[in-house]
Amino acid sequence: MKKISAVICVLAFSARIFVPLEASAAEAAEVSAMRRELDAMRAEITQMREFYDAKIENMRGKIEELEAGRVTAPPVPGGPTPLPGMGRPAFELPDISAVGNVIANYGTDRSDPDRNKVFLEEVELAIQGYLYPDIWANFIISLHRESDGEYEAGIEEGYIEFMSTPIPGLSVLAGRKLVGFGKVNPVHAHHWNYVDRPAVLESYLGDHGLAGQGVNVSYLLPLPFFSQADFGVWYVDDHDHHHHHHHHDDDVLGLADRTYSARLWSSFPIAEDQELEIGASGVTGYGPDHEEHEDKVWVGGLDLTYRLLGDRERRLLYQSELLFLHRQIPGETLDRWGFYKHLNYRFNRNWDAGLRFDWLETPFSERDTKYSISGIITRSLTETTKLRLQYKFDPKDIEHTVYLQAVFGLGPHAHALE
Amino acid sequence: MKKILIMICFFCVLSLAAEARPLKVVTTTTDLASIAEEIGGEKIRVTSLARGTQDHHYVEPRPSMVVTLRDADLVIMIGMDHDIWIQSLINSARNPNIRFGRPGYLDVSSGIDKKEIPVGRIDASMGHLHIYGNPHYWLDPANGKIIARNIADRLSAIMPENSSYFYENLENFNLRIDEKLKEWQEELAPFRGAPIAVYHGSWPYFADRFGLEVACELEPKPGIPPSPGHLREVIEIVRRRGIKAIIIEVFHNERPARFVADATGAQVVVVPSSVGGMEGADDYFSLMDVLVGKIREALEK
Repeated sequence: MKKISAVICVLAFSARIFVPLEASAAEAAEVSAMRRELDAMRAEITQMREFYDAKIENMRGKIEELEAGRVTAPPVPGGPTPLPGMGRPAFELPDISAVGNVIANYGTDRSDPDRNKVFLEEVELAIQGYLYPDIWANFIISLHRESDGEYEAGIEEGYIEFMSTPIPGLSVLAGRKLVGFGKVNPVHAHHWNYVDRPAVLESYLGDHGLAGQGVNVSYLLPLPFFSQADFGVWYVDDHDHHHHHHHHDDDVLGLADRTYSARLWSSFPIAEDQELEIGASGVTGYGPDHEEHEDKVWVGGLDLTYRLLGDRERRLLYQSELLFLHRQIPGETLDRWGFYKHLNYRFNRNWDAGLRFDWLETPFSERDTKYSISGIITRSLTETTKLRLQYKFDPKDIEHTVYLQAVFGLGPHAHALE
Repeated sequence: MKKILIMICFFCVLSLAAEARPLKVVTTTTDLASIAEEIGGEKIRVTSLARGTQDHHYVEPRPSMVVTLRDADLVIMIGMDHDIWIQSLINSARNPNIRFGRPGYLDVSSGIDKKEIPVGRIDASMGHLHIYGNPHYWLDPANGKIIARNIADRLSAIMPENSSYFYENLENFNLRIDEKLKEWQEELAPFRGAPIAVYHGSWPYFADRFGLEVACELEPKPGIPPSPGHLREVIEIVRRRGIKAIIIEVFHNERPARFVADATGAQVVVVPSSVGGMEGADDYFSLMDVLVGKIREALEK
């Protein structure tokens, strides 16, 4: 009986002890699950709060931008900066630019049709960009003023350039281009340090410069110093020389028809801040009226450029070109020469001043010499926007001319190293 | 047999010589040259095209630079249109290895947290704006580490056999930058929040790093020379804010800064913004030493 009582007591005790324990374990599991759920909900709420806070902040920023009349900047690519001509963010466009050239001409030379006039000399519209890796395209359409005041549109340059070829150092260009003769002919007028083309270049190569349609091969020689050889085969339209606006049309010859050009150009760094460039150029072709005059023309040139670079963009530049002209006319051979010398000092990035002396023998049967001296001062606002004052004196004919020039450019505009 | 052995020896010597040839690295600026030298050590030979005293925006491309690039294995640039003149030189160099997208073309602005990216319509009426943001990022020493990383990555890609050497140099460079940065920050800590005037907007990265506030610029717009009217406004700000220092880089015209200083009692601090821009700024670290020292001296007065 005692045993039975003891068993009952043990069972009762066990029931008292274990049943509640089983019940509390279940409760604990439930509480733990609820806690986990609560933590998850809390985390979710925190995430939502962060999400909405960020969204609110973003919206607030947008509202501020809109109120300030701004728009969000385009995303900046994480990679390297795209090249000019590769298309800028959000635009798959080539580089497009326009450069204008306005000239005011005041002078004593009554034979000058542009005397005492202000006129837009030229507008250059450039479209430039890459076509393919290492292949560059350049279109320069110009609208220039003729002697009668009318404007004529033309393609100043339009070419494709293969910057790399299987031959190391060799590049090839095809299309229409200013011929690589000397230092100034291949350079567009808005890049000059003066208003007018040096007289000898105008007279021997044409008043719009020598430009042709053809092929040019350029080879960077494998030498320890810079040395580049160029050879070109061109067709030069005689039309380019028939629409002179120069007031001494008789002084201008130029070349036409099938023309060959060659140039060797070298540069030597004399010191860290000094560089000397020398070049020799030659071009051979026909006279612009060769059907009538049956003339053959050969022009050779030597050029020299010295640069001394100082601090704060100070720079002394001396440039000179000496040209020889050989012209064969039936029954007559003409040999003429001429040169210009130009000295320019840049005080800082905004101001430079220069002097230019021009001398030449005219390229026609009657040997005549012309010379003039010019003083030039330029205020550069940007790389493509400049204001210039030039005074030109012709001691032989005692003529004075004052030019005021505004060159102004819009948009990204690039030219090859010349 | 003897001949064959001589030939083998000859080729071995040749191949050893080729291996020993240091990589020719050309940088647009002296700052990049200094960092490249830190990373590349004796495995590279570095030439900078611009001098430290030059404004990098206005470097005149010269034919001799074409030859330097023709022979280069790697060209390193600031990018963000800062040294855009390099492109015409690369085009003239006929070196396919250094063209855009090739291993020899490295724009180290990748990975930089760019500041002052212009928004909305951008045109020349706003001055000489950089559409990809302010490009003077090398003036923050912390960005020097990003530049160094970019250089180390590229050198390792070109010369994988020297990869560990470059990354070891990178680690040392980063350690030195971290140590020096602490020093520089401590040096300028007393002037945290101090307003400064600057000639050109070259200083947002530097100012942010050292807790300075660029309160005004002497140029009315980037790249536009100061006008008398704008200088009057600057004088007013300098007086009102109690600005002590007018920071101007060595290549800018000091006269407008002197004019403001004379009118306000502030001090003109002529500083280099590149290695070699001033005596003592012989490498990237000493450039920062000079910059921090000169600005601290001016703010102390």
